[in-house]
Amino acid sequence: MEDKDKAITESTVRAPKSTTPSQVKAPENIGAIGATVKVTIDGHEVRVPLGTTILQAARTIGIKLPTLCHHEDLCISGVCRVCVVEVEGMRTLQASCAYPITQPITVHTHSRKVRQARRHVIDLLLSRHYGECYSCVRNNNCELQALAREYGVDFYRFGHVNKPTYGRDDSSYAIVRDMDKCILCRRCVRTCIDLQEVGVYEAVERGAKTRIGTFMDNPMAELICINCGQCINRCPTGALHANDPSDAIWAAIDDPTKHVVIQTAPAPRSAIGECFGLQPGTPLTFEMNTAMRYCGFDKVFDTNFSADLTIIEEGTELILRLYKALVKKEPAYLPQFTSCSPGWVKYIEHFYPEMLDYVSSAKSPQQMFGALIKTYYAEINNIDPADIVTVALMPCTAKKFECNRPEMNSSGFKDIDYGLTTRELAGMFKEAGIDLPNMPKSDFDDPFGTRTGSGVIFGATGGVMESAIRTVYELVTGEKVENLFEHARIIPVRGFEGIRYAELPITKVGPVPDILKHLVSDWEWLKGITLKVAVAHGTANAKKVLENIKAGGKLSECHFIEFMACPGGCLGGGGMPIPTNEEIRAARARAIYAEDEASEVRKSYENPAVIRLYKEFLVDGPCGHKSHNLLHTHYIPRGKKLV
Amino acid sequence: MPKILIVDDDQDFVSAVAIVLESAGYQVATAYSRDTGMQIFNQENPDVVVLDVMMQEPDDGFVMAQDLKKIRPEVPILMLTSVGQVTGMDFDKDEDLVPVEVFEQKPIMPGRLLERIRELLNK
Amino acid sequence: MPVIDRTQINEEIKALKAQYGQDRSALLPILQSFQEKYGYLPDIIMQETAHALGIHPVEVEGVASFYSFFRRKEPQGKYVLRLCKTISCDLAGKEKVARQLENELGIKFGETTKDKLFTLEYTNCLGMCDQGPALMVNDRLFAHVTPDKVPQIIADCRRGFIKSEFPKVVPSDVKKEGPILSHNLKAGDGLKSALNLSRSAVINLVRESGLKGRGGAGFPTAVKWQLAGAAQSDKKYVVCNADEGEPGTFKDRYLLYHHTDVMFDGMTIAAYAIGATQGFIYLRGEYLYMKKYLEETIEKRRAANLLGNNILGKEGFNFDIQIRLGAGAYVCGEETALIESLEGYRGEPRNRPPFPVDTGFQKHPTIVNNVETFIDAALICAKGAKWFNEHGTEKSSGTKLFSVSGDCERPGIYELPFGITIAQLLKEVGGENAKAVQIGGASGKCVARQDFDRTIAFEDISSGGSIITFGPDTDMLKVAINFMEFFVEESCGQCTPCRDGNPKLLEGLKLLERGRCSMTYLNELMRLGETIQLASKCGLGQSSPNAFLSILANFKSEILGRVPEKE
Repeated sequence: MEDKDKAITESTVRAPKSTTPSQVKAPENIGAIGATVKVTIDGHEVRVPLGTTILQAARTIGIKLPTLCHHEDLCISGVCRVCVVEVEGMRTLQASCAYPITQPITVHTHSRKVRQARRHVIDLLLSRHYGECYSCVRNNNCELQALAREYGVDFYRFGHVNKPTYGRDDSSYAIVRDMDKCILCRRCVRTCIDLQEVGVYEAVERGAKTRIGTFMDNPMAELICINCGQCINRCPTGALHANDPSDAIWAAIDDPTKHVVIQTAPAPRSAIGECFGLQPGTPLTFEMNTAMRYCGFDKVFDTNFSADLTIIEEGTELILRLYKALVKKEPAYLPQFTSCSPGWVKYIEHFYPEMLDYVSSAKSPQQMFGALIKTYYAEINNIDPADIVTVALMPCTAKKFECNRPEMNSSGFKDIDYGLTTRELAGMFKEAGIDLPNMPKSDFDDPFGTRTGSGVIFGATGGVMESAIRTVYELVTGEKVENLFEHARIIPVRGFEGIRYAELPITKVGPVPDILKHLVSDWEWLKGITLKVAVAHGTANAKKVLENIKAGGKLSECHFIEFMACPGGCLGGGGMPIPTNEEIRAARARAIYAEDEASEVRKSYENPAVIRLYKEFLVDGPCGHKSHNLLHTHYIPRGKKLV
Repeated sequence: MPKILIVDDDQDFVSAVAIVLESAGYQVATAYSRDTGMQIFNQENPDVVVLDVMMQEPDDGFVMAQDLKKIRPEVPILMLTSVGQVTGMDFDKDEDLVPVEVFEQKPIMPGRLLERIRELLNK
Repeated sequence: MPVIDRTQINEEIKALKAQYGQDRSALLPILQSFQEKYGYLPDIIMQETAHALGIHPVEVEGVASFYSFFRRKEPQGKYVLRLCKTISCDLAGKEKVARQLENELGIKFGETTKDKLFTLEYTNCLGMCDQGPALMVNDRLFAHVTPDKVPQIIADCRRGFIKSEFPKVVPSDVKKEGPILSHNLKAGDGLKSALNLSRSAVINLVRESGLKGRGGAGFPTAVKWQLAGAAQSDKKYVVCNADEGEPGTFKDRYLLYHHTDVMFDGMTIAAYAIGATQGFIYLRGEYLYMKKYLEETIEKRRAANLLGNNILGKEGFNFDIQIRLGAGAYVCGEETALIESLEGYRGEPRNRPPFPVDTGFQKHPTIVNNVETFIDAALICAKGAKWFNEHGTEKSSGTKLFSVSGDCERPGIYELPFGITIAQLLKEVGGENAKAVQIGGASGKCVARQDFDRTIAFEDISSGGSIITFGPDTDMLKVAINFMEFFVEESCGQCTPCRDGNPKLLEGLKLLERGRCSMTYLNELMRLGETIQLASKCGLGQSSPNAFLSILANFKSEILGRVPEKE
């Protein structure tokens, strides 16, 4: 491997060293002598792979140790001390999350000392945790509250703050910080610095004055925050939460002069059941449609429509760039970067503004849909767009920022009025008394109604790329993608590997389809080309990709790269139900791919609603003048300097 | 039949290694600490020593290896420790500080262990 | 104040990176340079520094706000007056000096005068406990400060001429020398002896001597060296912990100046034994005045081939030493916190495993030893193990340096064998009538008369060398409050028990002072103290409630029986 490609394989994690994990890896060969080690937990003997932490070992025998600073997605921290256990022969209690077992040990998980320490830790955290549970957005889904209940807290042993110290920062469209509820577990710090490499938060000051700060204590709206909301997903309490627009949406619903429509992204349907006690990966697409109508939304649309539209627009843009590079031999910005993820877009605006020309100018599906509702839909239904309120149900907090970008108003009105997260919609359902899992089923509204597999997989990392490959391959070669990939499953771009790379040789070409005839006359120039693509999720991985491209590494030869700000893609979005971890994300992904397989239409260019749109409305075709005005946008080189 | 001394504070591990070695026909002596290990070494005159690193003291294995080389430098030592893979510790043999013939990491496949023992005996 | 210009700052950062390194470990030295130049760290400096090092601005702010010598908001005055508020100086009458400083300058502590000439601050232990109250004016030290000395010091500052009492170094009162202090070795003697031995023979000699870490924790030095020696890495490091921050200790201040070459010998021997090529002295920021002297000594050693390449003709033995300054954080005395600090992070102790001997500075094998430990090791190499371990006890061999302060006739530095009883020690220092002795500083134990027959040794009462005696009239509650205030400030703030528990203990003491603490709550706090000892992440956190618990255990009736002060 060349040096310049090291960046994509080596970890770039700059976590404070105190929190880097102790390189605990399970041994490769379990049949070897010494591959497992005996641990005695509360009198029960169990053999675990060498290097297993006490926390993991206890779980294997059904003992749940309490945790607060520990999170499966993040490196070991060992600071909250609530998971401490007694290890025989050791003077002090040990944090079970940070203790790898390398020799036989005997552990007591609920001795007097342990119980006392845990209770004290919880009481100490409660003593500085301002606020009452019933006025908290995380009521009933709070890890501190749960521990207080489990450990029988019935009074504030060490008192309780009765005045806020910091106040609430709700300057951001996406993320509200309420540091009076912070328990200093530093999950947000590790999320923002290690997982996302954005670096909004860090612990500042020390001793009893320690708090989580932003640079110069700037409000969230004025930082380099990309609004991905990953910190919210990992916050154990209500210290971080999304900026909830549901009151404004209720007001719009209540207003008889307003026509309130909602579009629903693919990811929420795979996860909203979690807010109603269902297992992750239980799809509730049709129940949700009915529930939204019960709430009073006038129309319920499927964002899959505009996802397919995105493929057509972005795919066409890619073809144009390829044509420029290969035929005209002019510099074109390749690889082309996807633009669906608003967190990613803001990331590149801040951190790599010099590379913005690589980003597709296509708006995200959310914004495309909004622009069409206030033009095309308004026109055919004869509704004044001023009276239309567009709501977007998204797995995403960054979408709240995106819909408030001033440039996103090509109809003359805001494309999207409100971005609503999965969690917030579940809240609206509960407020309306809706028992979601038991709702009757109903379908989406026309004229955008057709559910398509190619749209739904946008919810998983690699989904945009998979849809793009399905469509581009067939449009160019005239062959069925199934000839190459069984059931059109483009396996190389699926999965949760941080950066994935795939090649697609184009050995033969077919006729240019009608929809693209105004742009190219034939495909001969693509014959013999190997299409190179990559997928990255989580902005730390995005950073690696960009650095590799800058260094002229392997990925600089790509033609098209999908970026998603959130680990796992949208199904791991900052607006999705809490908690999140790899297992939960995988379950949601399974639901999404299952919906894809069950769909009749699984290729974007075959979506009848999209075909109709180009016939009736965007008559000058993909990347034509009209689509350019409505469906494309531009970016702002924001840079990362605040002063 | 050659005699092998196993010194390791993990008793489970010692018995697992002993079973493998005995079934291959070797005689086996065991000790769970550096002190008893030295005693048994002097009594039994083993042909090979299989030695752990961290016992009562974290550097017991290194010290014992150095001591053994002072008494009978011709007896080969196979150092076998878990620290490498699990805790990120990266030890290896060193003529002066870690005077052992073979350095292996736990866990080890039985076949590999026997192979290394055979190599040491043939030297 | 100089005008702050982005281009100029970036030029300066570039120059500083060339001097201190391209990676994050250059962060503290860079910030220290800017702090000195501008009197504070303006936002733009933190931002540009972050970007130059490839880290996030908020991380720089996190670091800058962790260390008490950095300022982020308005610039400090031209003269920063730091008055030590730690226990020994407190016992010596710092309160009156504080009032006089405020009167004289017309500002409160924490404030800067309008003319930006003076900033008044409290600081924790300056390492002048035998000569308190101590005051630091920029990098100049003043000892035995009394209220009537204050106007002169301030007048001198105004004239732009600080009459320093100590041009180079603070004289130390060595009251009793033993084998260590009267070694009579010249620079390089110990090193020469060591280089005649193999690496394993050096380590075994140290093992045979029974030398244990002099910082107080008492980890066997030979084990550390053997593990680091056996570790495989292209880079290894030797770090001298000269972050003497434990209240009541000042013996390193003396050793660093008067036994400098022996200490460097010790570090170089360690480097030889483990195979290190680079050494650091982590010198506490309060000892800034010593930096120049230490650098000159390093330069002389390079000239004499005691540092550098092929040291003393030993083919392939290359080693050099750099000085890194702390910036006012007690917790950096903990070895993993110290390494974090060297790497340019907040000084927060790490999880163990992994241990520094294999995953230390920048993930390379690293040994961290105390100043005194290195000196002992060098002397052992020159004079043999027996010369060393014929003193002391079986488990605590050798003699130990003690820093004695507080209410006694002869405060100063004493070299005494381990195993000495507290009564013997008190007799030595003229503190026989003490009602209690604090052994081991703020993190140590408060021992009352009934336990004066106990010994100072790793197997009984361990100590890094701080001995603070409390006379019969000492208000023990005030002592406890002073210690707890220290920990509330100096905790790194990482783990819950230490960060949030110690303020509760302090609050409880203040309730006691006002006669408002129930016995039930006091018992709860004693249990909380136990939790802090058991559940904190690092050794310092675990020892933070020691003073609280031992004072309450020994002086419960004095404390409970006191008349509450009027509110």
